[in-house]
Amino acid sequence: MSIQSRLETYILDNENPASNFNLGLEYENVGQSSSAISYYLRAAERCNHSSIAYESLIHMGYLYDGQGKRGRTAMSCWRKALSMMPKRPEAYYYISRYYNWISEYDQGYLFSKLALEFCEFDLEPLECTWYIDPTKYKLCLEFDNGLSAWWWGKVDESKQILLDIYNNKVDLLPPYQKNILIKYLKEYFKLDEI
Amino acid sequence: MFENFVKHVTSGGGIIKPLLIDPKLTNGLGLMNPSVYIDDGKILVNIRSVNYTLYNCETPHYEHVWGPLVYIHPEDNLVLATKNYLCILNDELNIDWYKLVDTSKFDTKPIWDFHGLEDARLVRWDGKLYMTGVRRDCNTIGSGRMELSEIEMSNDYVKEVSRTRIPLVGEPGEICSYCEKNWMPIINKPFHYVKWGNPTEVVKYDFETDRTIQVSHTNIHNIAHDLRGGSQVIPYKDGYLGLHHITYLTKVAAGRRDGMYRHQFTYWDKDWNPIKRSPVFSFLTGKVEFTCGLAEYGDSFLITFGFMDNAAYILKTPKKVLEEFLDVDSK
Repeated sequence: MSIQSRLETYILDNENPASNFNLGLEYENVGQSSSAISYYLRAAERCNHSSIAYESLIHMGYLYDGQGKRGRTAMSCWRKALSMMPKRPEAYYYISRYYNWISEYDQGYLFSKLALEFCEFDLEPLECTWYIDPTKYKLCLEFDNGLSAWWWGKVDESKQILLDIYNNKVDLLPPYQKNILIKYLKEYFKLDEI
Repeated sequence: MFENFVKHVTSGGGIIKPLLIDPKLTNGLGLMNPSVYIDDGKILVNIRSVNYTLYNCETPHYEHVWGPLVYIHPEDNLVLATKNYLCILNDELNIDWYKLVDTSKFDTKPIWDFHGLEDARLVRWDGKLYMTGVRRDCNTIGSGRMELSEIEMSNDYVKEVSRTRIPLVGEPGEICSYCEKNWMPIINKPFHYVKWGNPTEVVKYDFETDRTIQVSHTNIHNIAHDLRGGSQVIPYKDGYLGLHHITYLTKVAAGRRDGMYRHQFTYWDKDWNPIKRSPVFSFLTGKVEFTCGLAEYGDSFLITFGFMDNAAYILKTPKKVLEEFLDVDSK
């Protein structure tokens, strides 16, 4: 679908959350993140506490983060999503990843730990969210938990987590995380056999 | 209140098109408040490109932690910055060509937090193409004044070749207004503007004397809202047509500011008496919508507007649809 056709559908029923969400998705697909955010927010507001609202907030956070130096707002979107559906893993993952990215490892550890403790990882994947493979949230949260543990002084715990991933599921990790995992095991844990 | 004017127009044979600039140039940030002008048969559109994304919710449940209406700019650079892209559209209203307007010849270091020429309307007066909008970066308190930026276009560039700051009406040195913006250029009356719509005040800027004088001031009418500036004012039939914006400012429970914009057409006679006013309307039911452009184009009008400061659109409106819309309240 194109923006034009989604726009025409939207105009006919612009109170419909799906029409708003789909138009947001088209704007996102062509890199117009501000436009997308407006329609995602409208979609969320028109279906409180449904999966469309949750998914819209996940996208809004991702887009604000991608615009650069807007982390407080990205975080606010993800936190709202998390509080809406606290058993889903996506919001925890993006929050934890963001905190680790900005070196707030205690927060990264906290949110990944909470997710691994409380989330249900066998829920239906979100329909239109493919920032990572939707089957890999648990594994990526384990990775972020292990990474943040290293930087927060939990060295043994970090080694245990990262080695477990390496020994049992390393090929399931997305390439970016896989490269970092190997780097950590070699450089920080001095495991030359890796 | 008439909601979703665009639906009304498209169901009457009109067309809407999104206006997009390559996100590699804009970082995908807000495109807003476009202005359309027909220049020797060519459809010119200026699109305002900003460094922020507006967050504006409709319900308390979705308030940002900083309030319902927040400009999300880089957290280490708390300014609202504007650039402008001049575009040529084809007859299908798709953008064929665009260039960033190069303003470097006249730019000085901004000394207030709103940078650049905002909400620039396009108009050609005395053979020269102008962008005329508000600039607020010239003093430390952000006083807004309308400016005239003369524009030169070639295949390879668009650049500002002169810049004039329009003084207030009154004696030189008199400061009686903090911010003047959204004056509506009257396209067939050089350097004339409609300042606002109720009462209708028409002013003229004189380059020779560098003074602005009041040309017309009609009686105030008993309507419930202010009629602020908006589009250009265009001659139509025996009078003039323009599109105003209306601002409804509110506060949420926590005392933070919020707002909603709506619109209204006015049709004036030759002496600036308002003959008809349309219903107050929204384009797409967004809270923040804003128009800077109105042009006559064949059997239609072209209207350009921004949606939530984050998206820009052009709406081709059959004349018959708009004429009937103007007559709604008089039936």
